[in-house]
Amino acid sequence: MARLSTRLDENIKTIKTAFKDCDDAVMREIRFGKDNGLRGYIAFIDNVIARSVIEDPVLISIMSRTEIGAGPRLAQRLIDEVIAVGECKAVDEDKAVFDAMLIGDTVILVDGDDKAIVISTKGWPNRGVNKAETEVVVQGPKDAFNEVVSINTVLVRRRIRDTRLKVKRLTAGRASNTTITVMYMEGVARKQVVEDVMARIKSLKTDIIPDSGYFVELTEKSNLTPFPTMQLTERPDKTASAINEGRVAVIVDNTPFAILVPATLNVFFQSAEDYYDRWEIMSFLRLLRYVAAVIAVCLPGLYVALTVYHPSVIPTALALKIAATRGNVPFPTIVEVLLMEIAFELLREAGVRLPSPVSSTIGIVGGIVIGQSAVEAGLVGPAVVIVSAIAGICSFVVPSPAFVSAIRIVKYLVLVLSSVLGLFGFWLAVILIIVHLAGLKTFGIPYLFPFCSGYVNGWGDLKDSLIRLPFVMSRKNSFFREPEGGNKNDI
Amino acid sequence: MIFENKKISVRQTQALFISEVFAAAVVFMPAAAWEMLGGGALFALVLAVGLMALAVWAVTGIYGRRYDSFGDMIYKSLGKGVGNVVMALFWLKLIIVSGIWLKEFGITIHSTMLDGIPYQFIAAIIAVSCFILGQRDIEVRGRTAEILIVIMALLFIPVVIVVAIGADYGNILQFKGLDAGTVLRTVFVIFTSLGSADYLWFLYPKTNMGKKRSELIKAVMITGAGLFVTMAVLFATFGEGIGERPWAVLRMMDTVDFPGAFIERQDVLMLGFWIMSFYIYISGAMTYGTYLFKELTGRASYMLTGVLIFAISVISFPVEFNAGEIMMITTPVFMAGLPVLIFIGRRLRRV
Repeated sequence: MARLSTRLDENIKTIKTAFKDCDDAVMREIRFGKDNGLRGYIAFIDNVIARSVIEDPVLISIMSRTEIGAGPRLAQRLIDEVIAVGECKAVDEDKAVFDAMLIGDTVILVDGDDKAIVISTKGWPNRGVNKAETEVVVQGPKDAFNEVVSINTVLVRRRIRDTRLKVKRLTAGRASNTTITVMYMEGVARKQVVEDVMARIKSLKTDIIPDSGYFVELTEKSNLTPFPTMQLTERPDKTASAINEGRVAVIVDNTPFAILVPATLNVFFQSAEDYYDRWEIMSFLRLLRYVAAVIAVCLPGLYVALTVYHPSVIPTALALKIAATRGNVPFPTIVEVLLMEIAFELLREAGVRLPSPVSSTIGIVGGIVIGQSAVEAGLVGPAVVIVSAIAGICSFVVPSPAFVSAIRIVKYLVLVLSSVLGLFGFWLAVILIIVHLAGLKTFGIPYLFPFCSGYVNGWGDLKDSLIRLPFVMSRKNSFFREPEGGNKNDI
Repeated sequence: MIFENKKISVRQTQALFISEVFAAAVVFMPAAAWEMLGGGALFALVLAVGLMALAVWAVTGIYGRRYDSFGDMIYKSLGKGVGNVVMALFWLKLIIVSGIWLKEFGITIHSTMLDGIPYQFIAAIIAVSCFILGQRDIEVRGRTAEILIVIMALLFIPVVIVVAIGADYGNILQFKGLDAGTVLRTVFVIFTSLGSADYLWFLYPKTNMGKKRSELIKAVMITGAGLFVTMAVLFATFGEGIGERPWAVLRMMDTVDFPGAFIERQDVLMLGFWIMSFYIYISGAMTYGTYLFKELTGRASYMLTGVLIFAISVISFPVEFNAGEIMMITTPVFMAGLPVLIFIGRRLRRV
């Protein structure tokens, strides 16, 4: 990092050296002022700027004003009197010049002044505001974030028109210089959480942050868990609600997802739609999601435990039916279940990678082949197909893809322990999962809150957990909010 | 951070207390109490719970708000020498009692669920999984107990209700030997079966929110009420036959059919309850055993504590004890004798 020189040629040389072999860097010398006696130099990166901003309010303004004369503070005078752009500043270091160009700003250097003018001309190509793809709702707003951080910020800002909504911009990534925006409500979000988020961003040591997933993995404290402790959402309405609730949103540039923290287990079962429809219906659906998650995790393991170790627990008629249908199956039950589960995972993975028309075909063909043909060939019993299908469907009921992935992994722990130790192993696996979850924290808040420690705010958060009570009954402040009287230990 | 205060709430302490004490007490005690007093054992239970409430009141009173840990309190009250002896005895008690419980639990699982797998293997699996929780800090224990006690209640309460509906309550009116000596002996047996309450020595100093003593008494009362209902249902269900049924609570589901139940052996629900409560109990022994070992030697080794507990569970002793018999010695020592000793020690040392 070095200061700029008052000699234009020297500054031009610095920029040209830095952007050597960068054909997308546009640089040209301009003359302006009385008798075109003043020299200037304009530099920007092609296609990341809005050309209309450079041409009319900048270049035409400067080059058409013949009364400008040489003298001290020329750059500042141009900013104050000539350039008709709202966001415009003077910088005096070469790194500031390079950074500005790289994020889509235009730089103008003038001879005789050691200050460069940085004009905000960002105009990256973007795909506009499209519909949400991973968090589709029937009722409610349809817009979703895109890859441009500034647009994403606007989508939130238009939902919270309050000066308490703070937007802090930081950069991270030694090579990528990725813009990371932190959004929170001052006086509503817990100061400790905001400070923790800032500290984690500042401590990032990586060359590049291509996606919010990178950011999550680099900043999460609990890496040895399949359970997500930060929530990703592509919905601006969900983000705005979370911010209003006291949570902090982190938006990483080039990512169509906002990261919401803290993220307890409960928030992964909440869908934006829960608040747009009648509370009775949405409460039922919320409860259904929890039940579905339990089924997705437990059912394959429970099936193995009961059929292999404790068939006497199953009603006799059903036990006989299962035994009869798997009479010719050559594999042990655990192998049967694992085969089906892995087949299901493969189908799911293939479906994600393929274009949507093909993926649905793969789903149907794969389902028939693996379901019907495998049963007819006597490779698996029909009960196993049903168990795997129910478990698979149940896992998709949970609205968060990250949490669904966790369920996919944890299911195998239950399956393996149940296959080795029967119901005892099943219960043991359940206990181990609970112990693991009880040990997790998200930005200092227990992951199992409000099911654990929910009393700290009078069970207020429990009213929006397993079920959603009407708004009039659940108006009590969320625990994510800064408690009155400042931060304190709440237990 | 917000919750990182190395303390647990009163509610979490209550959850830990209830799950630990209830599970250990209800295994052998109902049958033993019936053999001595018949239906009158319910009155003895009330007296024993009252005594335990007094003991808990004494333990919590000893701590007040002055001490941060058991070691801190014991050294300041009794001095280094006597304090070390007390801690060594307590450590020994935790290892032996939890080891024997582990053995009995392993044998029960072996005989009821996994007869093809040796109980030693089952005990090893329990020990390893308890180690996972045992080595975590007190906050994790508290949160785990808070969740598990809800699941345990969901598994246990419906079973008790269904069994209670079909029970013959005339059995409760069968009284035996109502002389003062038998009543006192029964009260003593029931009191000792509540011996897991001695974990409170370690839990209470880690409890936050002003360390409300009355909340702990409430936990004793809830445990007592739970035991009362369970015993009444067991007596009504089995009557004189209770003595022939080891682990009677597990067996009580054999007596009824759940209307419309999908499963045919509802005792698996009870086994889930047992596994969870013993998990909390044995992992507690690992946590507190390791704590005492560290106070005594300066080294914390959860692995060593876990290995010792497991070793006790698989060693064949010349004389076989069950956990209930050992608790008849240890409970009076640590829930009655120790408070008295501390009281005397403080008087002598003018603390």
